[in-house]
Amino acid sequence: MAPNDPSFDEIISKIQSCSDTTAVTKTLAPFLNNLSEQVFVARSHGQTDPIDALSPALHSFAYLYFLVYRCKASHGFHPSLLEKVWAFVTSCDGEQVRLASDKALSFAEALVKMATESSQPIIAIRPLAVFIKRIQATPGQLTMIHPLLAKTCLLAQSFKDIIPILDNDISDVNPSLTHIDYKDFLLYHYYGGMIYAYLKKFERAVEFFKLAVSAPAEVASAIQIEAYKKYVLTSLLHYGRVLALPKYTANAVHKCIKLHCIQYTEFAAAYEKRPNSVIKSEFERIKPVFQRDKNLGLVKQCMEALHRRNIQELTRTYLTLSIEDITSTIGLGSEPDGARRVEGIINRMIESGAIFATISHEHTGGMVSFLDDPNQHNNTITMDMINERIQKATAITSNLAAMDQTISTMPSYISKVC
Amino acid sequence: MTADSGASGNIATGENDSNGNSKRKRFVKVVEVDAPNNMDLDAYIANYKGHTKVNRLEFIADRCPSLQIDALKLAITELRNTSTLNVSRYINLVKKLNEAVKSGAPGSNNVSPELLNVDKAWADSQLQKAKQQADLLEGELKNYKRNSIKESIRMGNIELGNHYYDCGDLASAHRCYSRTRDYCTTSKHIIELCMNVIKVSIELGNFPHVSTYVVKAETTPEIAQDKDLIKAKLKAALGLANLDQSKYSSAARDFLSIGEELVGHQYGDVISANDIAIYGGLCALASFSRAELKRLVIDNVGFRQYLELEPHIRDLIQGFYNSNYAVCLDIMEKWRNDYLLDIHLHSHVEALYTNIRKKALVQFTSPFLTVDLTKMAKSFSTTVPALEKELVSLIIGGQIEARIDSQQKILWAKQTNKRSAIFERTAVMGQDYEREAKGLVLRIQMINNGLIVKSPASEKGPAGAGAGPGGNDDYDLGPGGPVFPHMRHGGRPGRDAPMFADARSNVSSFLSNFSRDRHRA
Repeated sequence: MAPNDPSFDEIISKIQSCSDTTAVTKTLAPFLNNLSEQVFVARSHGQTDPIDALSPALHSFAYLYFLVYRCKASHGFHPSLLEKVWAFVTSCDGEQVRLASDKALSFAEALVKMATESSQPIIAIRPLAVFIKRIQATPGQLTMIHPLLAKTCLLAQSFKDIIPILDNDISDVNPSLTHIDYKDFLLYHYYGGMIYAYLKKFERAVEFFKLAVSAPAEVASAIQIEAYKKYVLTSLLHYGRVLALPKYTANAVHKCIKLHCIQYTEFAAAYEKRPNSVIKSEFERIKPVFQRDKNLGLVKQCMEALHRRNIQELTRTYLTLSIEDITSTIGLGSEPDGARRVEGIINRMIESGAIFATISHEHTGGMVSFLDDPNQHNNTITMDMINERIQKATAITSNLAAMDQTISTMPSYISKVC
Repeated sequence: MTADSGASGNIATGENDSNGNSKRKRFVKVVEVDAPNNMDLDAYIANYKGHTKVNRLEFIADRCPSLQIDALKLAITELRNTSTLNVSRYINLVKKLNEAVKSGAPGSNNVSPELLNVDKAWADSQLQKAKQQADLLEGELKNYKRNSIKESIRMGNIELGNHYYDCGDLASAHRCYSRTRDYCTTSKHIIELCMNVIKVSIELGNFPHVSTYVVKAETTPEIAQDKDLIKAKLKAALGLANLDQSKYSSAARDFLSIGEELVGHQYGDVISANDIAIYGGLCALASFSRAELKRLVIDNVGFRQYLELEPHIRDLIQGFYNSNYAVCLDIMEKWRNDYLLDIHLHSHVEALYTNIRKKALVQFTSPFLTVDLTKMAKSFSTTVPALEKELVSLIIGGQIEARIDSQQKILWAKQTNKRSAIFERTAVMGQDYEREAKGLVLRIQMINNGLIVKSPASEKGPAGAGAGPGGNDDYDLGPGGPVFPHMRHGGRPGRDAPMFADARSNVSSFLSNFSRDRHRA
């Protein structure tokens, strides 16, 4: 301990005296910032740990300072430290933590570092997921922890804890409260999209990539370009075509996409319209690019989905069709195990509800009868679904109307228009 | 289109056919050899006069070995009889005739030797005459120009144009005719200009030009004499132009609205009355709905007169209207070769036939709930698998609402449950609305809070870069490629002021547009 540092007792009493937010920002923050690192790391011999004198709920601000430096200094995994971390994230006061959001981020980073070093990413993921919920001012707020957590989860391939966070759409961005910048927004949605794609929830993945690509921009970011590439592929995979980007997508992004993603656009054009053989040759042609971009896995899934899409198209034209015919129509006729594979694909499609059909083996080779969607939309499920949608839509509309009202009465708006 | 028009334009020279055309030609020749057609060459060609007569004869000679000798003989005789000034063409045709005789085409035994030898004296005198005439006319024109008498200049240009036209120099003729434009004073002059240009352009195969001048002529007010005849001719020319551009529906309407004026081959230097019946009939069948067919073709008194000239087209239309498809397809097959030998129709025969067949298939299935494919195949004289393929393409194209039971070979009309469809659409629409609205609100927030992707230069503004976690390098996990944080530099200086106007117009236009857009979709 450096000689000019105050003693633990002084520090503790100082911390305990500052309980409301103004006191914390006015006096405690400069005080703590002036202390050297050792103060937070060291523990006095024979005495109780100073941190034990603090309550994580009441003195979250100071507690965070201690944790940051302790996590940074710790190499590997210490159950006692983890216990404190856990106590902190479960009970801390979000308002106080938000006052030191840069420290909160360093804390999260140190935690991740610690977890990676001991190769147990879960010790970072679980607390961070809880931590995010504590420090969010509103449930849909984007915090600086979001992208970090998403990245950690993606690297650890452990998604159980982040899914509830991802499922909750971001609806609030407030840099003045959370110290985020556009990169956090882009990265969070990029990583989130990748997580959803990994879990094969492609609809959500498309949503996330779209949000990243269509974020307001004066110049295009590399994250947006990469997100667009994945957007194209996931969109093909889920919808069979590339959904149009929102009208407000920045021009700079559009230009960059045209420059840097030609192969993707070409592949998508082939995938949407051309026969299977053309798609295959396009795939072979562009393969090195996909490989370079590390998107080959998605593209391969697209090629698999092609068979499913073809079968789905057959349901529009046929009532019954033999498996043999299906196999040759979708271009698997030349493969030795084609018919078996097709039957497997159809089975899975029936299971997942993508098509409605029955397979009968009365005839040799098997005959598939395609049926109509049995859901006649005359049950309570539909009614509930519709009601829920109506409520959501009304809520959003009134929200929008209120925003419209607010903006139209803002002095700066009026002065600009009149 | 360019290949086709180029082909019809190049008949005069007969040499620089494009690749696509030579392919078609070979195909046609194969057909001709084993299938004689219904054509009576003498009767057919008697309906034409002027350049088109020779053009058509040469066209037939190029494509149909069995008629080659006859056609060339007729063409050469025609050139001699009209004492043409187009000597190179004459020599060219004689050369062709010699080649044909050498290769032993049918009928080469009874070719009189005088046709086989180029009549040198006559050719030279014709050349001389052409040159003298050209010099004379050009001299006169210069004279007129010096005196700047408008009407004389116009007449001089027309005469010179006519002369070049006779000599087969179509480009020069076109230039001379176009030059009269500045000297036109009355609507009659304008019509004359248009008719001349149209005539040359059709022969050149420059059909976009034809449409332009037809429109120009049609908008000219107060046509004094031969008003109906000119209108009919213009319609015929426009029909040809539309046919050339594969706009079959417009072409059909043009041919059908010609009226009775051209029944006596009054426009024989371009199109015969028989052609009007054929072109009009086929285009109408390929593009009209049943109701239109009845109203515009069968009940069309003027067009009936043309149909009388080509009874098989009349039978074809009647058969189609009465759903007698076997008869129709039979007639079409029988006459296919004739149409392939038509200078204007040849490249469209396949497309027209496919369209007619498709329409027949659609019409056949429309009234039924179930259709037995074996029976249907019989009435279309095809096999069940082939028919199945055709039907599949029509179903995918959305022209037939049905599904095929390939086990029992039955076509079932599709029963769409509109109620379910509406529910499904509603659900999708609701979700879209939610998503779009959320995205928009988020976007406005981001703009208001300055969360805008900026180039590094403008980023150092008051937006507070550096305070956030961004800017460190350990974020480039996913993008395997080069990390190029900003593609383009030199963004505008940071805009801190919230873009109120933008945001507000975004919100209100979204609110008002959403439902409308969705309805349209």
